[in-house]
Amino acid sequence: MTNQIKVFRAKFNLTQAELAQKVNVRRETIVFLEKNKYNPSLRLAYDLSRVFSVNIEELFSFNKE
Amino acid sequence: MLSISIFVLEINNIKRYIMKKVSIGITLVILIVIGFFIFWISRSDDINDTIQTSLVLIIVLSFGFVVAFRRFISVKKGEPTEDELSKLFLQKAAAFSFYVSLYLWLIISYFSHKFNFETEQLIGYGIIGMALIFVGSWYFFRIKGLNND
Repeated sequence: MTNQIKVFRAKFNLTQAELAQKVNVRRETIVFLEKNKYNPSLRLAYDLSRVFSVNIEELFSFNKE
Repeated sequence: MLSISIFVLEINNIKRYIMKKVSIGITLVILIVIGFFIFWISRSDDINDTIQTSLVLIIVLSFGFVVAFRRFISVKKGEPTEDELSKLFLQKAAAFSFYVSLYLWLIISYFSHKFNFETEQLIGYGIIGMALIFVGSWYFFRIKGLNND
């Protein structure tokens, strides 16, 4: 699973701490997400997509290999 | 505007209150543990016993200090002290260390026949091993991440 969180965060001009505050997680969680070292829960994925006003599919993509 | 200022002040007060509570909690735990440790040492004549207890104490206190410090910093920054990832790290580390500890106890029971250790000593080494495995696996998952693809 890969994600576009870093891209959207840059687009919305948000810091990791600001994004973390918006979705009520620790900044470290955003760091792990951006490094693709963690797949978020559906709840967090939904919250993130709401912050960026996009569909979950635009933010997260699953690569079948 | 005034109500917003009051709201911000109220949040700051709550933050300060939580930090105060956390500090008192940490201090209490440290004092109780040190108290028990001094009590233990004063009663024990065996040097091995003292070393084992000290090791367990150092491991548990260091881990507790790291976790408490991280939470303290989180409260200071206005972040939640726990979220889904930090809970998952603890759960994964606990599950993994439990699994590895089974092998540790097997190894300990095997070697207990080879060397002349007392039962209490063996249990002590087992507990130290379990604590080390837990701390090690916690760090391992934090470095590796939890990519459950």
